[in-house]
Amino acid sequence: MNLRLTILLLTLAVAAACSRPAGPALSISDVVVLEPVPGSQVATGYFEIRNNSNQPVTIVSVTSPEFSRVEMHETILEDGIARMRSIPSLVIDENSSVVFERGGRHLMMFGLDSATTAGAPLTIVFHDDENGLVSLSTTLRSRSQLAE
Amino acid sequence: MPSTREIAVLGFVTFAFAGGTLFMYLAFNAPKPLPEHASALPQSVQLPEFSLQDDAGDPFTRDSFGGHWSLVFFGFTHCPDICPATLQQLAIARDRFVAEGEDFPAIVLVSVDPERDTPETLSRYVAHFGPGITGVTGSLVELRKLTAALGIYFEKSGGENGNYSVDHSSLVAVINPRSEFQAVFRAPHKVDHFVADLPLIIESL
Repeated sequence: MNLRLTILLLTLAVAAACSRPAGPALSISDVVVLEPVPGSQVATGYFEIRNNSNQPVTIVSVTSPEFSRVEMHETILEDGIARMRSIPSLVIDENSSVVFERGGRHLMMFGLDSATTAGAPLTIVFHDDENGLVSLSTTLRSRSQLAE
Repeated sequence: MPSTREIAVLGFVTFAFAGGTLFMYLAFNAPKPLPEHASALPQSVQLPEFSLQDDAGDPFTRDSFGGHWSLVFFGFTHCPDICPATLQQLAIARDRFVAEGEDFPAIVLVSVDPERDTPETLSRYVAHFGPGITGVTGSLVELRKLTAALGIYFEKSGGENGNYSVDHSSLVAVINPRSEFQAVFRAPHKVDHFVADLPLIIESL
């Protein structure tokens, strides 16, 4: 009986070890969410997201309670032409980072209440392909604070 | 027969005159430094006639460029990234010039999305970046007269239910006070590039 229980427990332990390790697989830093320019309706998000696990992680969506819709996009500058393309899902390789920055990948964030101004608190939630999520808190920033 | 002393004095005066002449020639004809980041056209090109509107709803034509320097960027207000970033960089460059007591060219945002960018929308948008910025919009026919002259590409891309983007050239065109296309800054843009090269471009006219 003890032997069977031991084997069962060992089996469960091995199965757990083969899945994603305990603790947050994703960490997010350098978050900047810029207010919409008046006349525009889109806030812009930049950040760095790191996969700390030993397996790829796929971000399948991004949401925020302050916005009706959040999308991942990328600016592609080629031969002097700027094109913006949607990123339906984002694969982050194991132990790797992906940067969302000006002139490159960015979040387009729609539907912010027009009364919301710079300094207001925001929550952004990154959803992965295994129904996991990472939630972060930040504040809305004025575009005049953007570095050169 | 001139004395040795007279010959020496004559030689010195001749040498001094020749040296001074050479100095003056080099001072007024020395090659001017070239912009490092902007590209000057081999010869400035007169813009064609066109008829657009500014963000106050007033006519914006070739004559609107006359009498002052202008920096022209083509973008649209639904652009979340490179368009506001470029305007912010131009605004920062403007602020640096103004802080030094220097004039800065007028900044003109020409919309490549006239369907959504009305004069009212542009007025609110450009005001965010400070003074000296004009938004311009109008019919596609008239817009294409200006974009063709400046080598600007633009095309709607993707999106449903009005949720489209516009692919567009990212250069900043420099227009001189004679309404001529004179130089171009190519992306990726940096504030220091505008600050360093604009005086050289302006002095070259």
